Amino acid sequence: MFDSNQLSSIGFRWVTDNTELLTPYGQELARHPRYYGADELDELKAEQHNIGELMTAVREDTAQVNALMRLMMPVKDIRRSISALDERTLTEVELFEVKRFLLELELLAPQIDKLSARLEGISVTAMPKALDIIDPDGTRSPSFYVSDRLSEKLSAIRAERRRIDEQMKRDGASDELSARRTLLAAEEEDENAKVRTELCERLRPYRARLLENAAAIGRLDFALGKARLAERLGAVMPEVGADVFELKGMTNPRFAEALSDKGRSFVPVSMELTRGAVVITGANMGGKSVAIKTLALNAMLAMCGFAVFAESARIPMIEDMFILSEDREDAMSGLSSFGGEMKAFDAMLRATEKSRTVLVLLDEFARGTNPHEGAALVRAAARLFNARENTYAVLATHFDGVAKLARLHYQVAGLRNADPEKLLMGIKGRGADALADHMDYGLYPVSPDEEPPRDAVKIIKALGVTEEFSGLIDI
Amino acid sequence: MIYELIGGVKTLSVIGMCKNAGKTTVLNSIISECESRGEILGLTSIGRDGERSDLVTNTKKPEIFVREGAVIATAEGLLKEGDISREILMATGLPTPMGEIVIVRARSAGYVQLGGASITEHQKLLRDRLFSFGCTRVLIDGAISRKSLGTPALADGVILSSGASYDADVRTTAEDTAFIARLFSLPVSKGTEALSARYTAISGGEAHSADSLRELLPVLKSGAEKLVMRGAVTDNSVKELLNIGKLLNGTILVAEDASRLLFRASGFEKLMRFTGGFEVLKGTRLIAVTVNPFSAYGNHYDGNDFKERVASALERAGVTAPVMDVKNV
Repeated sequence: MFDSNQLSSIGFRWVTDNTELLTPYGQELARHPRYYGADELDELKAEQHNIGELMTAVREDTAQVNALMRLMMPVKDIRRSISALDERTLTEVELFEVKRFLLELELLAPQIDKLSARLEGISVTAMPKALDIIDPDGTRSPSFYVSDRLSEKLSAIRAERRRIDEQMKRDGASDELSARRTLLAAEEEDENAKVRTELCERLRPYRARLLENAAAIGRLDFALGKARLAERLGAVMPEVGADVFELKGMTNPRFAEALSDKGRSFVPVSMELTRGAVVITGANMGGKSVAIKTLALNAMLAMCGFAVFAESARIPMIEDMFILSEDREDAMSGLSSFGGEMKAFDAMLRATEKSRTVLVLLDEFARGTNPHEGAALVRAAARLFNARENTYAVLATHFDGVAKLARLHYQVAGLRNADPEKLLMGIKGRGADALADHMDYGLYPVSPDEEPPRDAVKIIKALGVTEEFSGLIDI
Repeated sequence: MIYELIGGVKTLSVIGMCKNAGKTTVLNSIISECESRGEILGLTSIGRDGERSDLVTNTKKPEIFVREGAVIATAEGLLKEGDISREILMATGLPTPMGEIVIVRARSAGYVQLGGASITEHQKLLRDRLFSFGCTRVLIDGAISRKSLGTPALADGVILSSGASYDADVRTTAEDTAFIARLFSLPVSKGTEALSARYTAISGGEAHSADSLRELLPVLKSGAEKLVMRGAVTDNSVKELLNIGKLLNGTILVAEDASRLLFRASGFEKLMRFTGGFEVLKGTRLIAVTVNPFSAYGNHYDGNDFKERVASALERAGVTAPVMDVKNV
């Protein structure tokens, strides 16, 4: 499975960071989104259904959704207090928080009810009986005070305290009155603790339902966050459980954001993957890595019940996903050397041998060795994946002779169609940045016999590298 | 008498020069005066940041006494130190070493122990919450520490409490009290806005900002009207300013507010001699100075002598606030 550096690098972290959560319960779910395993198709479909319904609600019942959001925002994490109910008497502040939560449930439950007919597995129920225990006067005020009604003794102590206070105010504080006052205050404290102990005993049977409600609020919050993000960024719900990947017009919002800062836009990528090896070839700087990461992001999002960034998407249930690539963010995970890469590859092969379905993404596999052996290693990997029935593999490479082993072959067009004259003009005007304007980042299906494009020399010339060097290149 | 002085001051801070300066006596007098007139008081204190809870809780019993209806913002761990019947109104989520700060309403008369926020933004939030719970006036138990002059950024008015526990020598106590009182009485700089840079020199109506004094030397050489300093002005800052003393001839030094001024009297006097004076962006109203001739360490002052010395030191410092004996507040 992707590690935390890889989740950042593919843009998954960007997506979770941009998912707005309203409650601590939702925030916790979003920190470690649930990955739906290969045998959890029904659960994943239920989550997708809920998000789909919420996307509709965000569009069509905006006022209702806004009202719900306003009610969710003040919800605090009270699970520690609820859990403590099993062990000890809650403090007044803890009981205050439980009461607040119960009051919030009174408001949230009917609001969520309006949606819940359309939602699966999310229901929040009001708990008026528990609220009656903690608020016997029925004031429903958002504060907590141990009510006189809960204990005659407490009520009597307080009345006596009030009498003494009045007397002290009237006659001044004699030593005798002060001592009496102090004693009464201590008695009140004791009785207060006794009453709270009884309160907690009576609340204990509601513990499980309190926790269920907290969990349900979290699930709703996370689903609503996913739905709002999808609506905001135009993501779509993928069809999951397919036998092949069919991804049309994929984008990656993390890269799109970075490009838009430079005034450029992300070129959508379309791909199909069958079981076995799919190969992407293409120029340096042409976007192979971006294509791999965009695929990784959207596969990961789909399996975590998010909408995906694509025009449309069909995605198989994937039990495990791996990416081997070298970039700055991954260098920290220690895969920078050839040895490290091979060890990681080996570990992945062994770990996934028995998996039901695996997505393996190799970006410039074996780049760290000579082209002759490197190409042979990539070809071996392609053969291996073709032989494994459980693996969808994508290999991005610029080595020769790999594509002909591929079940499907894609190519980044790069500078193939660029006009050399215009390119040179652009470079003279704006420097290396102009390369990007002439680079075709699109991914095109090509025949397995198509060899990787030869753009290195073109790029060198376009960059205006000295003729003393470029004139000596003998191809 | 004190009630007339604090009149329209909505947020009032009582600040002690030292422990046992009589601050609590002053607070209790004000609480009693206000409550007997039907005011709903909000109370909090400046957090004693970094102080261990036992240092606070092992001291004497709490001494601040409120009547039913008062609203108190204090650390949860200090609730049990007091003895009011309490209604919990809010858990603020603001942390202190003694637990989260909670807001409670007194449902009986009784003693309370205050332990509030140590960050200005949090203090403002607590003040605003206290008002939102219906308080007509907020009292803040302030303290002078090495890090802060208390609450001028927060309060509309300040009462400074001084006492014999400050120093064995009554002259030192009187002079230091007058110095702090003077900082609280600095004039408000007119037409100067809060700026984000550490230093901003205003010359010919134009602002030049920089993060170090050195970068501003050319502007200062040409004679700036004002030098606005953001953040704390410490003894070190004073030294830096003294080093370029000649350039500051006639330039008015401006700090954010008195709570940022953390330097000794000697440096301040030197600066005042050749600059155009010291001003603040946000002023404080010094309402009164209270004096307590009794020392916790035994070296009591003569009451009248102490009061007169403080009064004359204030006069020399150009401070007009009245001086009151803590017994007669």
